Amino acid sequence: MATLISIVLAAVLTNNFITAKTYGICPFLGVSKKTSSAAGMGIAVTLVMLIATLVTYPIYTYVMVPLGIEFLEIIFFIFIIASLVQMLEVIIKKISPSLYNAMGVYLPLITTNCAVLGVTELVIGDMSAILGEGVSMNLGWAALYALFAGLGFTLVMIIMSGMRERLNYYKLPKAVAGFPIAMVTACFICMAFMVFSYISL
Amino acid sequence: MNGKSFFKSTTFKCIIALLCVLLVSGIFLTIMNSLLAVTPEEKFNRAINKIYGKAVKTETISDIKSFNETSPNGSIEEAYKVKEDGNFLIKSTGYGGYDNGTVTCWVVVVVNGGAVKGIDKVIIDSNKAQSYIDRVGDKALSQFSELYEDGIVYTPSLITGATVTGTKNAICNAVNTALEFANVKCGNVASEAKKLLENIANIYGDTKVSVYGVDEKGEEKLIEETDETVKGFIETPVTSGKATVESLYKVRFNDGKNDVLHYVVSSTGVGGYPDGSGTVTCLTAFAIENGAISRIYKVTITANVGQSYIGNIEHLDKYPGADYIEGEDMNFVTSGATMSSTAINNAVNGAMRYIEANIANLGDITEDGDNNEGGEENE
Amino acid sequence: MNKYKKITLDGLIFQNPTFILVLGTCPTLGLISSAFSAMGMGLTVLVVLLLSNVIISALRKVIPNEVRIPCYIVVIATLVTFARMFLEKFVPDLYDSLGGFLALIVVNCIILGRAEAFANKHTVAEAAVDGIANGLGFTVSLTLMGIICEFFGKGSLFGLQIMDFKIGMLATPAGAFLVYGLCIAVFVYIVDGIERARRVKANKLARENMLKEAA
Repeated sequence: MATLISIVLAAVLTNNFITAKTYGICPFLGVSKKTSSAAGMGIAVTLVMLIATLVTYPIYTYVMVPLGIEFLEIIFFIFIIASLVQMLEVIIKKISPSLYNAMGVYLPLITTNCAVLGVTELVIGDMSAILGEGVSMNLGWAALYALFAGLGFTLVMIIMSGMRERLNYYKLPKAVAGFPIAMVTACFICMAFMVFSYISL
Repeated sequence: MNGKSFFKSTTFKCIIALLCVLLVSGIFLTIMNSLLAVTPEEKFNRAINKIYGKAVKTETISDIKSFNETSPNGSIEEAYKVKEDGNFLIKSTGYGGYDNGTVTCWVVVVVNGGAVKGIDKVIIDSNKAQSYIDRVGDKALSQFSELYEDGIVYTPSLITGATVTGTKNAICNAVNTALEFANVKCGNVASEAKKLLENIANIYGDTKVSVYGVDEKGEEKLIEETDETVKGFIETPVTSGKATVESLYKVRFNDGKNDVLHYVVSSTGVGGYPDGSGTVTCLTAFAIENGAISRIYKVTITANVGQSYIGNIEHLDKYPGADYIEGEDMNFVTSGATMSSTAINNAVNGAMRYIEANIANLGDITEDGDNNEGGEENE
Repeated sequence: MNKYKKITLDGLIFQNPTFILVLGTCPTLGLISSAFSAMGMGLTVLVVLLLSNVIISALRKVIPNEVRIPCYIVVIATLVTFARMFLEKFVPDLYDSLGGFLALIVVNCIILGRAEAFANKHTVAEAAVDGIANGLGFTVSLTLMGIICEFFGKGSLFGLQIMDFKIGMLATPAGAFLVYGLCIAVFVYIVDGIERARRVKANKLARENMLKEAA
C-alpha cells in the first residue's frame, strides 16, 4: 500500500515527467495551445507509455537479460515503441474512427517523444528511491508507474493549455511571442509543482 | 504474385534493407560491447578513485561488524585501506539527522606511521530524509579536514556555513564514527603522554626544545621521542583553584642568546558553557627565571567538553602580553564565548597557582638525574 | 564554397536548432543546470549528428524510401548505444551527469530532423558540414545557457565554486524554463535585427541598381 501511494505521488506530483524530469517537452510546448488537443495528446501519450512499458519490461527482464544483450536496449526499445505506435494507429482507425479523429493525429508524433522511451528506460533502472525499502521492481509496479507518469504528464499539459489559451488575448512583441512566453509560463507551473517536493512519506 | 516477382518487389527490397541495417548494427554493437564493457571491478575501482581523487589500489578492511555493535552514533558500511599510502577510505553512516534520518559519507582518513593524522576529505554519499542536504556545500565539508586535531569530536556548531543542524549532526556522527574506527584499526589510541609531547612540540614550532620528565624511578630525565616510560612531574591530577592540573614538563631550549627554562603545564579549567559544567583543557608554557615565573610564554587549547564556540576564542595571545604579578589572576574574555573564556582563565590561573606553590620543589633542570628534587608530587 | 558557408551559418544562427527551431528541448532543459553536463550533451549530440548525417547521406541511394525512417532510427540508436558505451568506458563523469538523457538522444528531434530534412537529399560532404554546424549550434547554445544557469543558480562555473551568492531556483527545471525562454527571446530579437538589416541593404542595392539602369 505504501509503495502504491508512493508511486502515484511520485509519478504525478513530486517527480512529474514535465516539471521535474523535463521529459516530453516537445509535445508539451507544441501541442498545448488548445485544451482539447492538449488533453488528446496527453491521453494518447499515457496509453502508449502504458502499453510500451507492458511490452518492453518483460522483454528486457525475461529475454534480453538472460541472453546478455542488455546493451541493445535502446535499439530494441525504440523499435518496439515505433511498431507499437504504428499498430495502435491502425487498430484505433479500425475500431473507432471517432477516437481516431480525436487522438489518432497525435500518434505519429509520439514515436519521437522522450516521455515514452524515458519511462521504459526508467523502469528498468534503479527505482529503489520510489519503491521504498525491500520492494523489488516487477511488471505491476512498472505498469502502474508508467500509467501515473502519463496521467501526470496529461495533468500538466492541461494546466499549460489553459494558461496558454488565456495568453491568446494579449498582443506580445514578436521576440517574446510563441516559445519564450510559453517557457516562462512553464516556469511558473514548475515552481508551483516544486511545492510538492515537501511531501514526504 | 509469383515467387519471382516477389523477389523484385519493393517489399522484398525494404525487408532486405532493414534486415541488413539491423544486422550490421547488431554486429557492430556486439563487437563494441565486448571491447568497451565495464566490469564490476572496474566500476568499483572507479568509484573509489573518484572519491580518492587519483588511481589507487585498495584492500578491504575486515571486522566491521564487531565495531558497529558497540558504536552508538553511527555505523561503518565499508572500509578500505589504500595500498599506496596506508590511508583509510571509510564509508560510514551517521545517525541523528533531521527527522531521525541518516547521512552516509565517504571519509578519507590520513594514516601515517600507524596513527591517524587527519582527515583528507569528507564526501556525502547518500542520505535518508535530509531534504536540505544541498545546503551542506564543499565549504562546510572542507572544515572537517581543516579543524582536525588529535582526539577531536566534531559537533554541528563547529562546522560553519551551513544552516542545517540536524543534517550536520548526522554528518559529524558519520565522521566521528569513521575516525573512531580508524583509530581502533590503527591499534593505538595514542597514549595521553605521547599526545601531550606532540602538543608541547607544537607550542615551540620550529625551535628545537628538550623536554624533561621523570622516569619510573622518579629520576629526572630527558624525554626522547620514543621513550614511553618517562612521565610528567605530576602523577595524579591535582586540584588547584578552579582547575585540575594534570601534568607538568620542564622544557629547555636556546632562545638565540641563553638557555631558557620553561614549565609547560596541562590543566583543565571548569566554568565553561553551558551552565559552568563544561571544561577547557589548556597547555600553558611559563617562562621561569630565578626560581619564579617571569611571564606566560604561550597558551594553547588542547581539548574541551561541550564548548561549541571554542573556535571563536581569540584572546589567547593576550596572556603572553600581560605582566605577571605573583598571586594575581589573569582574566581575559572573548565576547561571544564568555563561558569558554572563563574556563580558559580558570585553567591558566590554576596552573599559575600550582607553579607558585611548588616552584621551590620543582626547581631547575637537573640533567644528570643526581638530584631528585623534582620528584613526584602527590597531594 | 558559398554553399557551405550558408549551411554553416544556417546551422549556427539562422536555423539554430535550440533557439530558432526549438528542437531537442528535453535534454536542454534537463541539463543546463550544470555547464559541464550541458556542454557534454552538446558535444555528444554533435558527434552522433555528424556520424548519422554522414552514414545516412552515404546510404541515401541504397535505402528504399518506404523504410527510410525505421532505418534512420536504427542507425541513430546504434550510434547512441555506441556513444553510451564509449562514455561509460572513457568519460564516466560525463556518463553519470548525463543520466537518462544519454539514451534519449535517440529521440532528439534534431538528429532525426536533420536526417530527414537534409542528409537524405545532399552529398556526404554537405551532410557532414550540416551535422557539424547544427551540432555546434546546439553545443554553443547549451553551454551558454548552462553557464548562465550554473553561475546564478549554484554560484559556480564548470563545477568550480566562484561565489556564495546563488539563486537556487535557476538550477531547477523551473529556472531552466525561464532562462531558456528568455534566451530564445533575446536570440530571436538579435537575429531579427540582423535579417532586417540584410533586407534593408538588399533593397537599397536593388534600388541603386534600378536607378543606375534607369540612368
